[in-house]
Amino acid sequence: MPTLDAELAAFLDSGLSVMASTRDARLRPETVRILALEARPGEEEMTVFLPDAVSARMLENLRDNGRIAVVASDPLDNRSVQLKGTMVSCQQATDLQRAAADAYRAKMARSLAQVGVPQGILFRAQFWPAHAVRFRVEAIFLQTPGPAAGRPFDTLSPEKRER
Amino acid sequence: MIALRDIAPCFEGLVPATMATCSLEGEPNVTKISQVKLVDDRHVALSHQFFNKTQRNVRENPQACVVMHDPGTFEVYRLEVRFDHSETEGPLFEEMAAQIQVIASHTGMLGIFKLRCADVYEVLAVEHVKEFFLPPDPRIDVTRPPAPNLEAMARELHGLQAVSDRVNRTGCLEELLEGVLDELDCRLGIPNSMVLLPTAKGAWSPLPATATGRAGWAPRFRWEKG
Repeated sequence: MPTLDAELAAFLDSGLSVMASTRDARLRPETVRILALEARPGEEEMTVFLPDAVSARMLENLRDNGRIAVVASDPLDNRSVQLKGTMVSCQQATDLQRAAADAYRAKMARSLAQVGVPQGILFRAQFWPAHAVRFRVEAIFLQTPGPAAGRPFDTLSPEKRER
Repeated sequence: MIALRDIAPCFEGLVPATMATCSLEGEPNVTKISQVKLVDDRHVALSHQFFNKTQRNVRENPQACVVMHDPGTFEVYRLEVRFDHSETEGPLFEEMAAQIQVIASHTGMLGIFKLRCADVYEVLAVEHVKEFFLPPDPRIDVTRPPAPNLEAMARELHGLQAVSDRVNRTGCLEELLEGVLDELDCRLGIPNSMVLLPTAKGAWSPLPATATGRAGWAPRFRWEKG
């Protein structure tokens, strides 16, 4: 099972543009924008916060089969990764988690502001209350546009890959 | 159902769309899409620069979900789509290939992005995800500007294309300046311009202008030799 290394955890924690996807019993996919996540180095699991306002289908799908995919992209340079896994828990997010989620959303707003998205936009989004969905990461793929997209994740840095 | 033409700004490619698919084994996949093109009232086409999981998935399970943002308001629209067919040549493909080059140059992906195929999807449902945003608060939310005039926007885009074509065809700076000013005037209705050149001290200095004397035409600039 892959572990989130320091580079990847720092990248995920840097306030990225994040979308999650699930599917129902009839294999119909669903996707929503996520405004906060928690990823720590050395762990095999991570948490995404699904806003209740827009996640009814997502939560229903997760209760049905637990499969989830999350793509996280840096809006400035398009570096992207996709993480796939299976849900291990799904609970109403707590007030303690709210503080970290607020901080993540603020980082995301700053990142998106650099590509022209007004900062106020994300603060108008209904991102709370939310469900904290913790999932076991079973596969990680590079998703940065280019010929390496879709390969198993090794590093976000092309220089490192060439060495 | 919301008509696709009613969400035309979403197809401008200013905010990347996201697409979710699912393999026959039940593994969801999610990816950003560079370009979603409105084909007709019931179809959209998605660009694919690389052969990837998304393409494999829709060929075995044609169901997909696309999320798009209006670039002006950032309102969210969700499309349920079904893969119909793929095009690797013809007018749709050529148009999307040209647009991909524009997107690539804007996003620093020139030389990396090259259209491999345009996948055409039937649109089964369009949903405005109103709940994405909090309800407007009249105390803090300013009144939204009126919806953009799409005809005027199309005229502007064609005007910009004409200016760009003229730039491409010019062979010297004088011709460039004359050509751009002509196109700005005729195509975009901008009769007055000021051209600034950098000075040796790092400041900007306007080029001296002389009027042509032609009624309704722009003041013209004499290209100063030396």
